Amino acid sequence: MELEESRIIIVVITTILTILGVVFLVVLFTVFQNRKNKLLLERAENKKRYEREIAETQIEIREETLRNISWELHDNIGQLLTLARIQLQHASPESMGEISEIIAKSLTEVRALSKIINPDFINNVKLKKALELEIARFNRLNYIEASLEVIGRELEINQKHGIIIFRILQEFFSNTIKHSKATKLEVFLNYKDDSVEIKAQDNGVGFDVVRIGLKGIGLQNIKARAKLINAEAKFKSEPQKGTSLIINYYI
Amino acid sequence: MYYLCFLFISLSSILYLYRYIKDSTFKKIRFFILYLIFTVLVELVVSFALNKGVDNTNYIYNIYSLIEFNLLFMFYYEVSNDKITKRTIIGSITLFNVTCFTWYLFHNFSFSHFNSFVIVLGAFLMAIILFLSLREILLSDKIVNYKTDIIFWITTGLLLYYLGSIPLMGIYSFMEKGVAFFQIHNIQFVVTILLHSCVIIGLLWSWKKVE
Repeated sequence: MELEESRIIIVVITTILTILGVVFLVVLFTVFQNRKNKLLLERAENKKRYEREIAETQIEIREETLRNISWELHDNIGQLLTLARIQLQHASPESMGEISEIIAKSLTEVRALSKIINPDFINNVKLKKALELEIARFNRLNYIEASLEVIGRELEINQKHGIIIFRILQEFFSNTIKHSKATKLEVFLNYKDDSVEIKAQDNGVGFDVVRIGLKGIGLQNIKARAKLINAEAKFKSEPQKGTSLIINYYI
Repeated sequence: MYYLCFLFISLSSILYLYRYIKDSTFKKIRFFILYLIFTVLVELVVSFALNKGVDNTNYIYNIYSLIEFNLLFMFYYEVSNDKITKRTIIGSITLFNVTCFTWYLFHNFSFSHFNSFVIVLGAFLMAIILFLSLREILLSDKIVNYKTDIIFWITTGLLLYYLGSIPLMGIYSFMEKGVAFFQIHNIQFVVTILLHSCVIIGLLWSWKKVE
């Protein structure tokens, strides 16, 4: 009788343990599979967002380039050709050399522009080269006294990430030229062991970051874009002390 | 049943030892391999002792329990990257060893009696660490390939084993040796087979991933 009772107890224990074991396994695998699916979905979503952001950035760079070309055609080449035409109207054998020089300069400007318009150039240009061209353009058009200093040995930066960094800087430059009343723009490209620090600063009027807020100057957008490529963007500005942007990109 | 159980333990030990020799990444789980080999050796010693007519093998199992849990604590300490899990493991090692030492010292407990208290305490602490380890996998990127993650399978197996063992150990304490006792022992064999099945599945899955 006692043995029979013990057997019943054992059967009950075994059944309970088996049921608990099976329930545990089912719950465990369900939780893990759900979490896995969620993570994969998040990753796919992030990838899509990244690709969309890259495409948008490329479009923005193209638009900015077209705007710059428009300005250059009007303010630079247009002015040079107008000057050449006026001089031609009052041409004399002595002024032919000067006219020829103006036309040659216009031609050089047109060639430089044609290079920038090329879509392959826009998509494949390296960050350092793109910055050099942008700085050279500012100096050529006398927009601002700009300089670029490269520190350290150049590191390979992911092409798509380079596009995003360049676009962030392009937005900063555009704000500097349009609103800051700055006379100087300095850019430092500092290659470290496993990161790149890009610093852009102007000597303009600056502004009170707290009072004006960050949304107006598109910093949220800059920060979001930087985060997308595993970079950090810091923005500093004080009234009458200029504005600076530091981007730390981790390779 | 005992021989089937021993076959599973030996098989997992041999497979893990083979992988340890072939694959340098297995150094990370050396304490677990040590635990497997130690288990096989203990079973061999117990079988030898029983064949030689020794009645009481509780000495061996009591010492085995002390070393077994310490090896598993150390194994999880090495494979874990989570601060909370690591702190819990250090706390568990301290609590387990101090409690066992105190228990043997002040309870005047003889090694000749099977000490289910040590096993229940160890299993309980292990269960906490195993849940934390599963949580770590769940919150990390490892979740994407969790089925090929050897730690996931070892943890699942150990969790099944210890969660199954805690009630059994409780029952052992109140039971006289008899027919029913040995039938309960069979349940212990089943959970051991389950543990080693999970361990072997984990090894084979991760093997597939490496290839």
